Amino acid sequence: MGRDISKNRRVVVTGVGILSPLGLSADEHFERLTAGQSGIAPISIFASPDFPVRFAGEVRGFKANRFIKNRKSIKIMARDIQLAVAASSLAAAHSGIHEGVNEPHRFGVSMGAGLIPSQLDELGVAVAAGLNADGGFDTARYGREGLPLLFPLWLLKYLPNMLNSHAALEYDARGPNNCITCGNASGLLAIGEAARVIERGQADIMLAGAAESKIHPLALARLHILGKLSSENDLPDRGPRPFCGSRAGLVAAEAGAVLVLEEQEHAAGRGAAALARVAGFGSSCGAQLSEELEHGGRAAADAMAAALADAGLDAGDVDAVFANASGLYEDDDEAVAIVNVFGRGKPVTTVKAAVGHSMAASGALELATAVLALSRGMLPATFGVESCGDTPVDLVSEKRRGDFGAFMINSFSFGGQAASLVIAR
Amino acid sequence: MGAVTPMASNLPDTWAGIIEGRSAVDYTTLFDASTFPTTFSGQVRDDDLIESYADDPLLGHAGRNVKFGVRAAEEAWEHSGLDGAVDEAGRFGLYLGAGEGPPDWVTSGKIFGAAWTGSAIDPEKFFLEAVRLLDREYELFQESNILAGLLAGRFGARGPNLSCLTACAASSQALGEAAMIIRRGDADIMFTGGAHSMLHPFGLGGFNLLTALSQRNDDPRHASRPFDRDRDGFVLSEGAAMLVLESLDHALARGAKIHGEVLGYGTTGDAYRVTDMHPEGRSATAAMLMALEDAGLEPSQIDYINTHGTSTAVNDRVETIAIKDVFKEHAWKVPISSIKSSLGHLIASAGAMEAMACLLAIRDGIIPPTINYENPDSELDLDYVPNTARRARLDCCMSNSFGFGGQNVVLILGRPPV
Amino acid sequence: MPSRDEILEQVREVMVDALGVDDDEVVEDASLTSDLGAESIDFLDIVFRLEKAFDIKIPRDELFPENLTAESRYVQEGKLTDEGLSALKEKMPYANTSEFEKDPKIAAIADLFTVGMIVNYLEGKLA
Repeated sequence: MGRDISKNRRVVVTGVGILSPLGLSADEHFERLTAGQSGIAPISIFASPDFPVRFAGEVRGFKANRFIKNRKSIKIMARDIQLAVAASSLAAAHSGIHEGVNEPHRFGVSMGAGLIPSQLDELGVAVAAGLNADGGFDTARYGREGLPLLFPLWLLKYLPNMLNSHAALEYDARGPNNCITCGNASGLLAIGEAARVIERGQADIMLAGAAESKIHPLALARLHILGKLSSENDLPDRGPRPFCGSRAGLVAAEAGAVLVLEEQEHAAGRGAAALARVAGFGSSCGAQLSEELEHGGRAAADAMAAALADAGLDAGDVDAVFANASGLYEDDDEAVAIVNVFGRGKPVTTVKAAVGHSMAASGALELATAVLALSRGMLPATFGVESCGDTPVDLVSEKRRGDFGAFMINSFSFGGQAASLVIAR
Repeated sequence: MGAVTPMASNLPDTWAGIIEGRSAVDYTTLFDASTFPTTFSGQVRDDDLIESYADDPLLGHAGRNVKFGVRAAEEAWEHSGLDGAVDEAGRFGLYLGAGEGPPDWVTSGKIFGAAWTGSAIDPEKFFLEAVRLLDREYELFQESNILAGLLAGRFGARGPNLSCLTACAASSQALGEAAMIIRRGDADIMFTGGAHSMLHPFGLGGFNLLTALSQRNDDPRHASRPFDRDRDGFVLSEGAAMLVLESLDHALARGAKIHGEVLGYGTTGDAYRVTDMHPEGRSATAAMLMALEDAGLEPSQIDYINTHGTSTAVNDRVETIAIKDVFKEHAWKVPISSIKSSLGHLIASAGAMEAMACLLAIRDGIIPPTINYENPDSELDLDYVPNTARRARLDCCMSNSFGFGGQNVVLILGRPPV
Repeated sequence: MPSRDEILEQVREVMVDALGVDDDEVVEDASLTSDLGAESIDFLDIVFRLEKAFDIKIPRDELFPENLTAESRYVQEGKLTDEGLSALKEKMPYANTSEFEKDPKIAAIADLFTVGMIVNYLEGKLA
């Protein structure tokens, strides 16, 4: 295949859809974020006063049928899927797409998804019927007694590619359709991949984003035994305080964030406003298996450098970094990487400080927020870091107005993947 | 190239079994499935493979899928001759179509049991029991991106690193996207493929409830019968399939043995129904056309089609219609077959296995058969290469993969460039 | 035994939950596919919900028979043959086939699956 891929097609953002702990629309999310508010609150699924997990960033007041046209399908959508489809519908509407586009085969979908756990009562009734007298799980008994009690479409609710399938169905998007499952880096990688698909000419327009909800006992238990969750149950108002010396872990959250990416001429042709341009994308991996970011941040620095090179920009052209920073130990490694790439003094912020860590959705949420910041000339502050003292990077502690040219967005997985993306005016 | 399949724990023996027309399907023994609507599967029966990782501090905690993936990757790595020959780690990446790990159902049962109130699950009790009982590393390995990170570490790949999970099309999609990364110049070497096991009570039960699986419990070896009139669903299998892709210049410069060329890649979405295929297979057709256009080939230049061919009533009918739509009169001339008739459905790893079957078919000049083809279906009248492998010179082959949920991926593979 | 109206009322609730339709759309003549938008997986869901609502077991292939056209002698030029038609009537005794018989197109078989057919089936089952 000796043919080179054209890099002449430019990719712009023409729509933003956000459902976050701060609001049920991109506007509400951004207004509350720049007003210095936090979306972290007492968790709704646990009630005991001394429970190990007491706070979370939840999307409150979300009703799927307010956002999703295909009402019948809501019954087979786990919350992650509902959030993705709803955020897609917000992004599409923002971009001026209502039913679909003229050439459905040129309209694709690229979503990032997490590991979606089953709704517990639904599976519980079947598993309970499969237990033998001493409480052990007896698969033969499960097959005979449990299966008939389980919702027959159960499996469909939890397949990660269903984020894509349902989003494509809502908008008759018959073009390239991919689902990235790279843990917390999923969303940013999915958007980077979507930009590549448009760039190489296999689509003109893509719904690209991610959604995940970790507000689930099994998902939280997994994070807890990995030692990721914030132990700071008594001080939720302070948030996870990324990069601060006193940080105590991440706060679990949920979100859906989707962009409409479009080839620049295609957007101009239908009169859609370009909010930002996807200028560069890079990914890397720490060559080790660890659920923490590579010590020293080399993979992170490689991803940032690759994204900058892809954009044809210098470090000085970037006005601020939307960091992966989640309040974990590894924030220090990201700080080293940022300083290695940008030197000291580059403004750094992160939405996670105000909403918690929405995992697979987190990179998409940081990017969607960055697009709003760029197009509105307003860089949000990092929530809760006023009293941090010295930090290894220059956190944006108060929101700033400005005529910004470019932002870098970082997103890293537990598992080694590092992704960075640059947006520009 | 490397593979772990229900047929064998390496690619040469898997391929030999396919060509000999053997079935790798048998009764499930991994857990007691005797009361499930389907009692058989394509289970990897190589217990030594699983055992060989028992003392590994990392892989000892991993699910079967990861062990399959590592073994297949080691085979592919050795086959590639790249060990010690990677000049620039940053230009060596991975793009896998890897599945999630099988849940620890023994422990899950205990947790559910402890948290069951008689009518619901107590979420706090569930959390506390899960924290007490779950194995930290096993749970980490549940995430489908872990394999790509793990292999990056094992082989020293610091370049682009991604994993996608578009159901039954995942590893085909990964292969196509990996090729695009090389084409764009972002890497010289890409590891690609997939590993997956949904062979656990929740996976098997979930597919059974959807009535997607064959229930030919009295005759498992004949259960996977793509395009046959009496097909009644697919056979759930597990395994891994891995390939090393390389830019032609890089491969030539190091004097690598080249096994074939990735010529074309097409990807579309159905956007029709959640699981029903469009009756004319409009997006399957579009994916085939996109791959042909990408390869710069006419339909008449395709010598063999490795179909998605799942052995479900709908897929095999719609795929036949879509092939006729794309290939017109050539549709009746081009041999097409499904190796799922031998292996069952490897889910996320199926597409990479089938792409390798195309490359091996070209190398050996032999078309793998569709076994268990006994009774023609009146509407399905193409040349399905029934039951016996067939000698033929092949230059360009197409491999179809259609995901449950509407992701369609088509790859075109060709002879090594001279 | 519940009255026909009582059965219809419960079937209506099942359809509203399974298909996301409004209750006034669920009338006896409504076709599950063309009027109420059901696809193949929804038939599984409807059976599951009917079993729960009426506390009955509905064996696979009894309410919504599959493979009605599998035998090649049942089909000719896109229509059911006389033999195919009588096989269909035997498998779906509770379906109203009088209109269908006039022009037994394969494509029209799906329209035999109506709300009324389900009520007929349940009347027989609960008798």
